[in-house]
Amino acid sequence: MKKYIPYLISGLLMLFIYGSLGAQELPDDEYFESEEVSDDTGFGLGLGVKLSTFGPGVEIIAAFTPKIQLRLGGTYFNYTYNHTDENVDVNGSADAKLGSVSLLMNYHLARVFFLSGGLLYNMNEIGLNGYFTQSMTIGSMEVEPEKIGTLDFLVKPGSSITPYAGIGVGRSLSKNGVVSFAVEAGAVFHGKPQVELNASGMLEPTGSEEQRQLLEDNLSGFNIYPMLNFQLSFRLL
Amino acid sequence: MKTKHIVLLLGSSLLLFGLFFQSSCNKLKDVTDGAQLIIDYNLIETTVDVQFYDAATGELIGRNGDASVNVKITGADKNGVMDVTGVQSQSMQYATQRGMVGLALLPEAAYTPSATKPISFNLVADIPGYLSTSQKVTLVATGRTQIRVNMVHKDNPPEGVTVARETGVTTAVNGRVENPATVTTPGGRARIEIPAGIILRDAGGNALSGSINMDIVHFDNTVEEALAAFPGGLMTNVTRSDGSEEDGMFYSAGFVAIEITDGSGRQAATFEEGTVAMEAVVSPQTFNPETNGNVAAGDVVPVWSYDENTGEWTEEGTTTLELVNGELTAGFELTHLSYYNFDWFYGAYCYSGVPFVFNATNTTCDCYQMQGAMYRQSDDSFLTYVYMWVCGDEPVYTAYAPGGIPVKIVWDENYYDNVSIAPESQPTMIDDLCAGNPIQINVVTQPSSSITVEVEVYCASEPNVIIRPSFGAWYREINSWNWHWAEMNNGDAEICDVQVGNTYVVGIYYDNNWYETEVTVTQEAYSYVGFELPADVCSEVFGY
Repeated sequence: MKKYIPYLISGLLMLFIYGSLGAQELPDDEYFESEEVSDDTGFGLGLGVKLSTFGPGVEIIAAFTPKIQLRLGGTYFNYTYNHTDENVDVNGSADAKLGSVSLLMNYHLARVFFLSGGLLYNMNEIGLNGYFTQSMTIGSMEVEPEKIGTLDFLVKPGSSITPYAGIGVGRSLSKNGVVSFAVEAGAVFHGKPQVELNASGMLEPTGSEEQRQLLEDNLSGFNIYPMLNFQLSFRLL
Repeated sequence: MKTKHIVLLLGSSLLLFGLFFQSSCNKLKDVTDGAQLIIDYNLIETTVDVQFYDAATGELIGRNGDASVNVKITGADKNGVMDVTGVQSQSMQYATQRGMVGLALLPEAAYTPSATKPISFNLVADIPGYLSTSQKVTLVATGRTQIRVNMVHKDNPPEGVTVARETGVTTAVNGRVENPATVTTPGGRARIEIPAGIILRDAGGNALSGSINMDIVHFDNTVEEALAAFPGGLMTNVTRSDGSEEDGMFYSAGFVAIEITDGSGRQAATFEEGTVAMEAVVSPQTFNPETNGNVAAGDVVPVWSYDENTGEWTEEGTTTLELVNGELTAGFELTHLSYYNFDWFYGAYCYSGVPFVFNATNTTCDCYQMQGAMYRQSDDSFLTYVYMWVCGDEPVYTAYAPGGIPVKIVWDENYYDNVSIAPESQPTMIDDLCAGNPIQINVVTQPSSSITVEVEVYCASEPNVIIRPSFGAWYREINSWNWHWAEMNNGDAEICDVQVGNTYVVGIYYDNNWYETEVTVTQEAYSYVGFELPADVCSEVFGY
């Protein structure tokens, strides 16, 4: 955690500088909001659709003050790529599952800039599966693919509940209008990825605990997942 | 306003990118860095280790590397046989090294032996100076099988075997014998008479010409050493006179091997325009299973011919024992040349016999070998050698066992220093190998030591592909010729009855070659992880 402290300090320093420049009142910005429909009471409720690095999803947004909004959302995306080419010895599939349930809070530093933070239930998984399609000749022996075996590799986040921090431009919920748009970028701190490694047949020792641990160590640097989110919201109340 | 936004954006971006940089970029590696594809090379499920011994000396033939037995594979399932490293000879011929050859079955469904689908083939063994022989191999389960074949050196036969080797016994022109010839083995145990005018041809139909040589070998069925060297063994498969095939065992009344050659090396196989007379003396101690007593004049004995090239027996007819000059004599007129056997044949067999359970305490090793010889109780006649690979209290099944007759097994007490048979189990008397309860064998063990060996190999061209081999190796103490067997499974082996400080010879059979080295044991565990295979092995076996 100590390594993050300089950057937290830097961020706080920037916020202090921003505050010292006199951002006391949020200005209007017609680029991110539609026609005004209500008085500025502070409270609002809306529904959003979004496309993010966690996949497409929806979100419920509640605004309690002009600066603070609470967002409850969910995303899901699954893509499987099957490589089936009988002309090569090894085929396989890659399965990428992206998904999250998020509870975030936005704090607007200015009309169009906001900080966002919260927690995600992280459902991301990437799986790879490889298998032989053709017999292998060893000496005078024809070894069937079933005998050779398969290799399965799955990477999951180190923790299912993961913190998130980001910055955004726009509004997740329009202050006075119906439609709003926001773009945010951030990072999800999912910890040291977990690796599952399974092998069968002759390849069985490849799936040993030592090998799994090695792969996990190699992936230990990938403990942040980038978040880029495009969101279109509609104010209901 | 714009200034404030820019400051805010820059600050927040610095925060986020700093976090990324600190936590990720410094540690990024190739995901597969250091990972290896580790392969268990355990394809071969059934191995057959064959040892060829000189019947007289009891030594492995060519144990010093000075001779090699040519082993030809014939029979129904010959195409499923390869050498133990997984390489199949196109000619189906293999050469022994140090008197041993390691064979295996292709790991295919068609060649996976079971009690309902036995796999069988013949080993036809040939080496200059020795009488050609063969051994039928029948496998009813996967795993390891060991076979011993005794071969008779014509110039140094074992007890009970007499040999006549005569050159220039007669001459032939275009195959036609010019003068009659008679050859008798020492002691008059067997006699062959070739009449004048008969035509001799080899298996290819070529006529023999010039000086004719004749070798006659007689086996006395009442001498154990002779029976143990009986070509083809006594438990085998025969073709009856009606063409049907039958598995069973011989009750032997004697065996005569005849080889007639000319100066060019052509070997007679067929006769035309005449027959060759054969007579053999039958020991009066021979057991006649039909009368349940010793043979006597007037007893009828079936006659069998043996094709030494295929290892197959064929019923030729019968002969009646006669008393000639005070000796029981069996005679037969030969229409073709082969090995001949006067035997009764009985076909009670089961492919998988009753299990043997070895009760041992304090065994040093997980698995060890028990070996011995099986005898028929009725006439104390040798039947076959017995080899069992014992792992703990797991039952060991006898394959291709003779049924319905009482047998006994006399166990070899000298194979291990620390393993012997309890007195109550030596010999082991068995009423019927094909029926009854498991046979309990009590084993006495003495404290001993073993070592473990761990092996992982790779090819230089594919260093990230690690192979954990499964294979067998032989070892013996440097001053002993008592070879022991050790198995490695997926890179791990336990070698029994090995003492730290002693020196051993370790050998493996690979692709018709024998590789051996001397090893002085200095520790209880060895690790050869990261051992690079020779390039030719990588190329031939793995294609790397």
